Amino acid sequence: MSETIIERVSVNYKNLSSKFTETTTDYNKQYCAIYLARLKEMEILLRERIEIKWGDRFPVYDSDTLFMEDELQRYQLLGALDGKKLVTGITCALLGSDMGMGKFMVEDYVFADYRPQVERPLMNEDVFVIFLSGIDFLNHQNFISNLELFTHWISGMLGDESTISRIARIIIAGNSIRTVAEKKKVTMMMTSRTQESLEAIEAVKAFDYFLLQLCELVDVDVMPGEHDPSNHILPQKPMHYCMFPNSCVYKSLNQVSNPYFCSLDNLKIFGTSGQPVMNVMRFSEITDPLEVLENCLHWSHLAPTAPDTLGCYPYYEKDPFIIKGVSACLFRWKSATIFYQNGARLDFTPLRRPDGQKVRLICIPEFCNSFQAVVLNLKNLDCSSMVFSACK
Amino acid sequence: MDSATEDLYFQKLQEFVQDEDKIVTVASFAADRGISIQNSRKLITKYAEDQRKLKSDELAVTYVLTGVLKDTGARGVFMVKEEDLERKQELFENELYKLIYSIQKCRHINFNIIALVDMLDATKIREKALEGSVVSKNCVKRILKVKKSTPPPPPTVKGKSSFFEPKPGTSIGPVKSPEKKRQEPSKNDHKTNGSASITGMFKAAAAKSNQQNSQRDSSSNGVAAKSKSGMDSGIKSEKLSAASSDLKDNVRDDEIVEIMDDEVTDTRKEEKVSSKPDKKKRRRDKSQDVPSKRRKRIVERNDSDSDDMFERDDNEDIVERSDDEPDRIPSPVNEKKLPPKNKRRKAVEKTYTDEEGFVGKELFYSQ
Repeated sequence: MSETIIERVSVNYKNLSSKFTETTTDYNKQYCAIYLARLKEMEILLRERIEIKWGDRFPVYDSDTLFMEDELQRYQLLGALDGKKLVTGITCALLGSDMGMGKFMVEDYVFADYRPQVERPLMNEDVFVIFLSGIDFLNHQNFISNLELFTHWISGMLGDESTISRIARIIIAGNSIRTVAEKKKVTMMMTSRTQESLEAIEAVKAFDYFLLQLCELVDVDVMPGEHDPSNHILPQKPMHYCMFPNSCVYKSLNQVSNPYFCSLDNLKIFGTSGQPVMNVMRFSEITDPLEVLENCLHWSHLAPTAPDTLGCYPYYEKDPFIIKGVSACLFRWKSATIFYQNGARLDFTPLRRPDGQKVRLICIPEFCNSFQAVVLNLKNLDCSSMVFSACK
Repeated sequence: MDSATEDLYFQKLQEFVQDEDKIVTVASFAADRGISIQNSRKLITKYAEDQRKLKSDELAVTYVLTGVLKDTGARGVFMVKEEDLERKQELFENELYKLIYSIQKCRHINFNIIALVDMLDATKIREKALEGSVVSKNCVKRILKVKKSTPPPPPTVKGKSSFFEPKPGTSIGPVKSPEKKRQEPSKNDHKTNGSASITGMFKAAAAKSNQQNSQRDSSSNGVAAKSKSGMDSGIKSEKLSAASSDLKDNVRDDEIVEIMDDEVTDTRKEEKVSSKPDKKKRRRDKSQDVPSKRRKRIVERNDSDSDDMFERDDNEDIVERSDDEPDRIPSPVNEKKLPPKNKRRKAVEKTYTDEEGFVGKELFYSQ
């Protein structure tokens, strides 16, 4: 009585996150170097934008470029620029006049804007990618049934096998172990080291078994989140495979970095676990994380507040957070296709580029609260959510 | 699936649900019986229907509804109890899947406990996914490479061997066989002779062949045997002997005499050379040692004494004496109490007056 196993669709996968994982352990460099590298790269992009927008009517002065920001070399910007929706670290070109007394009247401005997009491949059939985030295995005993429903649905046990067989990949976008920071007890000890609690260790074990169930069925990419056992500053390194002894045996398990950049059948997907968007919202008056994601695309930078208010590695010669050639998906626990984690509800927006191409921004909700996963169709970038509920 | 096999599975289900009061889910039954999830679902569905006909109240069933929700347009997967089934179906669009999820005897249903059944089953490591699952091509196990153990480090202390002893038959490092050790002086002989003369080569080959007597194999030429360590030298000796036979035919009588003389002198040299290592290894004979001066025991005997030499042992001084050395008189030793090492002596200055009336100062060290 042997049944044939139904095969799942497969796509050409490439992990393009090497620029986030190839870091040395040298933390002795100054952080100003990353600003210099950022300025150097953005200057090329901005000059293109200047030429498109203003042509050669206005000269571009190299001396206008600020290499250091201190009390003496800071200009107060006045005019047509809303500073409340901008954060430190954005590179832009300003058209205006020097009013003296350290003030600059802005008449117009331009950011690096969308980069040239790689043409989206044409797909004949539907291919789906599932996004999950904020599973919070520390408290998973409250929603075991929801997790099991998700696992059984992925296996095809709950019907609709034709759709299930078109699911190519699952991306778990961070905060799988816990979603809030661990409360540290106040002690008189001089050392700040805290021991990992038994609950966290049990949560990691449970997450390992959950991954084992998924890895038997489909390719899984696991990103570390802000509160996961990985390094704190960006880019976060992939979680170590020794924590997942049962699931790491499978080739389908992929421990990836945060931010994460990959290609599925030449469709570029770029995202983070939420820290950059949260940081921009903290230091600006933008309340909608989708708007933050859209602005990130306009600024051509995924984490503009790094390293000022968002911890990051002291890069010396490059800035890996500059967005180059993202084609379709920018997900973040709350953003379409640049997925961004940690949202209360699913938000997604199709972004129309000036050249007519589409970018999907996705905000992925926390599974522990909403019991939702996001389903993205790579054929037409349509996005929908999937709810797994145990009705009581 | 034939009816006989079905009956067996139904019996098993009866045993699980009614006798053992277990919660049986589609996944756990498929894993337990080794059948596909589709067959497992069919069996459980048929069992539940049959039980409904026989005894309607003695079975609690849990269902899963999958479809598009009317209010949000999102897709939903809902786990519902039997009594809520109709109410929950109204939340979905017309096209939805209604599938059985689990059965149990107890009427009280707890979804978390039902999920625990599958979760505990998932902790058992399986070779592959359940039959009938939708599986990706890349979902295969990695081939783990076995680490090769590194060889033990060489002994660093002279005379002491490594803690780890090599297995017999495996060579860890360069192993010197005793034959090779024997070979070394012969090789040195080659070097020491260093003569470009052909006779020197012949003698060296002859010396080697003498040393390898125990391991020689008789060959057709009657040349020295081929041993493991002396393979090359054996081959060389063969070549040399062949060359010598050729040369001897061409050499004149005068030269033969010279060769003979050279051979004699060379043999003497060889003896000297060969004797050197023997000298080093030769044990020192005790007889050759210079006798050290020993004190002899002097026993003074009186005429009236008995023949028993040890009669007055208690009274006699048994310490060895010699006439040359004078008797030692033990000197009185003033035992001074030495101050403890950890304590320092304090230097105290005291004034005193001498006989003439002069005042002086003196340092005293207090203990």
